[in-house]
Amino acid sequence: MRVKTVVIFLGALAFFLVAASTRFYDSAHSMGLIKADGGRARHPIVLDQGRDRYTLIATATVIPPYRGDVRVAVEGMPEMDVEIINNVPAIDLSPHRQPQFRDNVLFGVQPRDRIALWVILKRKAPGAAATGQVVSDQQAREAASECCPVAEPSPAPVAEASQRPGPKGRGSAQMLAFYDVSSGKQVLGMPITFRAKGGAHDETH
Amino acid sequence: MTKPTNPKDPRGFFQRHRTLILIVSLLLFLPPLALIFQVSTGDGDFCGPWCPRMFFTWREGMSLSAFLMGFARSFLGVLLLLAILGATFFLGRWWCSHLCPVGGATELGSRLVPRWLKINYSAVPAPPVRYGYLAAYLIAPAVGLGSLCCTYCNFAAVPRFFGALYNPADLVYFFRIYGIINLLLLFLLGFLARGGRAYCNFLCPVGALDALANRIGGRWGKRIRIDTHKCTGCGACKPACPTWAITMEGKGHKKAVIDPHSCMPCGECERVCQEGAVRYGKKS
Repeated sequence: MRVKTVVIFLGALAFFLVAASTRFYDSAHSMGLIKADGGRARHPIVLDQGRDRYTLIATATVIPPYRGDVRVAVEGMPEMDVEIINNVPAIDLSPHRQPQFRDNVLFGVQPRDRIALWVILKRKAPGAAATGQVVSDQQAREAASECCPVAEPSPAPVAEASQRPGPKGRGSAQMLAFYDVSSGKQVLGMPITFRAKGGAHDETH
Repeated sequence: MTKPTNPKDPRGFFQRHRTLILIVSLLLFLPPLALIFQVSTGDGDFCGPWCPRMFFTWREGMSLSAFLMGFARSFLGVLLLLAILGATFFLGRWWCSHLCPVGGATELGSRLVPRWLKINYSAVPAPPVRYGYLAAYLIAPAVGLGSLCCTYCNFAAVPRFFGALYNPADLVYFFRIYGIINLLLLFLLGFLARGGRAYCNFLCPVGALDALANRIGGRWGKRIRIDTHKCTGCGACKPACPTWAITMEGKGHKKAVIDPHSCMPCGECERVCQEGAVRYGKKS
């Protein structure tokens, strides 16, 4: 009986260690601090390259004395449709004030507020530009060679890493960024890193 | 077919009204009301200051101050876990049997599932699986292998399962691989499990710690106990136990034995025992 128990324990331990080391990169969670002088994310959001849909969970605490309205934007991925959902109770019975989220802006953020956002990234239909205009591959290439931001029909989001300023020392343009509406200053940036499938393990939580 | 019950139901008030208490607990803890969270922190679920299971994991490269900050961030979860363990030490696993909205939801849900659809996990000894899970839960982040925390979490999945009807953010939780796995676990180990408690029994780190407190405090505290002189070995209590904590043991004339690592004071065995051999109390 005791041998059976030990064998089951060791089997369960091995199984769950494998489960813990197996990660699925269609979603990731990043935690951060919103600060007036530029916040800090605990770790980057790591996702698999080439998927049609991603889910990002972004939680952040507002560090005093920051207060204001915060615009939330996903940058560096024009070929993806972005939907941001604020995680608040469905029936709000709370005596606590919650920042209101409308048109990708969190209104009335105050010190010590805790923000929880779910961000859904969906690949646009092939050939659809950021404005909804349909362009061919050739048109896109021609436009890109002449001018600047045009939606790439390419399936590789990594190729979008452009010259936009990223967080210090990372050089990646993909980012879930939080900006103070009145000053335009970034109060938090959560870098989004794309990994080749089967690449090295990264802690996403 | 209804289970045979003891006509002189010896159970106490809280055990007789356990279903009602569980329903009240669901209203207090789960969406759409989640009153406990809304009133205390403005949240809608256990994720955040109420999380009772993330703060005690040590991650590779973590400083002591970062580890302690986790306690501060989840201060209500820390208090909840300490209260659960303290209460269990003296009184038994009342949190698991009567108050936990996560285990309660799956148990109540499983009662609505026809018997022929239910999966019987009682052939799998729960404690070694549970402590294998707990060991992996603590070891994996400490050595940098990854984490079971949050990715496979019934404390996150169950509230979102109820919230998905009302809140798009809760619905989004399930539209990803981890969400689908959690949903499958919720059904296979919860709603479709006989007794509805396989998730609790196998994969709950809070339940695993609670079971340890139950085992350690068993000598002094109140527990469900079997009077071996009264037990006839009929075995009626065994299938009634939602956590398959009862086995029939002994040479020749077998008698019921309760595993303190899995027992919670739900009183289901007390209800069905015709001999009055099961009681809740201190060791005599």
